[in-house]
Amino acid sequence: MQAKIFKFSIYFFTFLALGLFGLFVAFLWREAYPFLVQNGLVSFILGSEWDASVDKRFGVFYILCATFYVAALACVVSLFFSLGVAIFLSFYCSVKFKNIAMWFVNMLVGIPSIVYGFFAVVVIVGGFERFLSFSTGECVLAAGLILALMIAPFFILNVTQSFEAIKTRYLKDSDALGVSREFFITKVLFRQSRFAIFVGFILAFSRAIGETMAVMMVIGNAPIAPTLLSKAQSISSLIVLEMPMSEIGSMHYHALFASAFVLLASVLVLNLIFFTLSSRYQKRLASEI
Amino acid sequence: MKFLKFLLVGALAYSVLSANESGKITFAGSSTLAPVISKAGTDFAEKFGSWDKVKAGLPAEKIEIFISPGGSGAGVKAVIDGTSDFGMLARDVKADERAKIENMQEFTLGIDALNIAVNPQNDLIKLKKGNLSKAEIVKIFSGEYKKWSDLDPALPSDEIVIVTRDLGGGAHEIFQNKIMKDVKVSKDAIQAPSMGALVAKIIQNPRAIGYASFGIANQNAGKITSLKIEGVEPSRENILNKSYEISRPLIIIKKGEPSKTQSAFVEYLRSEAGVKTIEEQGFIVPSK
Repeated sequence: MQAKIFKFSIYFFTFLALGLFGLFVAFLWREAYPFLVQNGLVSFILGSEWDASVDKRFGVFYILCATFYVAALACVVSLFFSLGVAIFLSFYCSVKFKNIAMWFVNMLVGIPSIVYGFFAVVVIVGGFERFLSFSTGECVLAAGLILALMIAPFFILNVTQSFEAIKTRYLKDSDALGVSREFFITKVLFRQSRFAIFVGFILAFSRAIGETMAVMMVIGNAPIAPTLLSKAQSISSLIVLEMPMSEIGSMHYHALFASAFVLLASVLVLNLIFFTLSSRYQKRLASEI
Repeated sequence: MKFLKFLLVGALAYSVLSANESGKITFAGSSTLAPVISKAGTDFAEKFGSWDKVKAGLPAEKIEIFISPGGSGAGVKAVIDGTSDFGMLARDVKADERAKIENMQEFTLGIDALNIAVNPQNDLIKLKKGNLSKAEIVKIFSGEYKKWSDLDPALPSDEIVIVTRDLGGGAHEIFQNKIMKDVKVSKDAIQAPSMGALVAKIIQNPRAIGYASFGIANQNAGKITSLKIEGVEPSRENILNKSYEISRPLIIIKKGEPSKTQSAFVEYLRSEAGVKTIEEQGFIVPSK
């Protein structure tokens, strides 16, 4: 009897989770529908002008580009930084130091995103204005940098874990062969941890795309074509900025939901691509061994 | 497992039993009005404690006033949906919003104005005696003047940094309607998420110009400098007699007649003590 209850609850919660996700997508679609039926999804995605005040034209092309640009920039910067930290923690320091450092890294995860935002405004934006004489420090680079800091803990933890596994498996053999530590790191470690780093990259990218508060405070919120040092607008900060003041039921309101839907859809598509790629990769790895 | 079930039922029962409607008033809406009502609500609750001490005939319930900011639009939605007793708005109620609320009651609490403000280090203050014409303001905010030297050759050739509120929102709507009219604000403008962030940007950046709400501008009087428009200073008298044009009403709305406890609180907001709180936050209450 107990086994039956257990089985039932497992099924129930799984379907509940899937159902909630479906409900979420359905809700976004329902609120976005009035706008999309009138303007069309393609012209919405390719339209480059977002004007909510005078013309009421809604196109998210530049905003979508900026969202991906900032997330990709943050992931790339964070990747190199985190790899460095992970290698140092795994190979070049004492166990005690490593434990303390991991504790700090874990704490970084707990800092609220708006605190990161304040930090970025004062240090990064202020720094750009004072030391690099920008007319205004808000730019894609600033957002990318603070995002890189925010996702670094995830990367570091993920990568350090896989490094430990590889160390346990190969380090003794490598040392027995008389090979230098650096050779081990560059020739063996990187090759073996490729997959784990890739998965970590995907997870971090998904996290970075949705990050709202910190990005909103330093990106300038100007829906223009994004370049590294220009102001830009990301979808999440667009929604947070404009939703409170938009009139319920107006086209603006529905357009904001449409942009949320587009963001969700693109994250889903990306994850699907990555998932297929990674499972194919995993099969290849398994066959290599 | 049994304990969990018990806990769940207990929590549900507690939430049902402890829902006492009459002592509680909820406000939702404008983030400009929220701190005002919040402070007034706290003072009111501290002064009286329970409703029966405010006026005879009111229930002996504890005074509880809840505020949730989220923007004027959210305030209207809350009243339409019935999720909040009152909505707080920092603009006039629009016609189609009015149509959606049956028997809408509207109470004007005060007036907020927008000051055009620059950093005190900006030489514009000395050069133009702190005055700008409407045409100049339009040219600056539309991006036609890209550098400060376009406005006046004696100013440095630094880029003008325009800071506005979110372009679709209530605060910007006033600026757009009264000053910009049909001209769009430059796409390059920084849209700040709140008045506080906007003012912080002007304080931090000597090249910035933006519009700050009257209250916040006065609170930061030394750190930012407000400009005159066509010679009219954003002072209390000028805002009240409408010679200073960029102003917006602060109102609270309700669906249907307010209950006795709700009327008592609205009366407090309009009394001397309430007016003092509103003016302390930097808004203007027209004296009767």
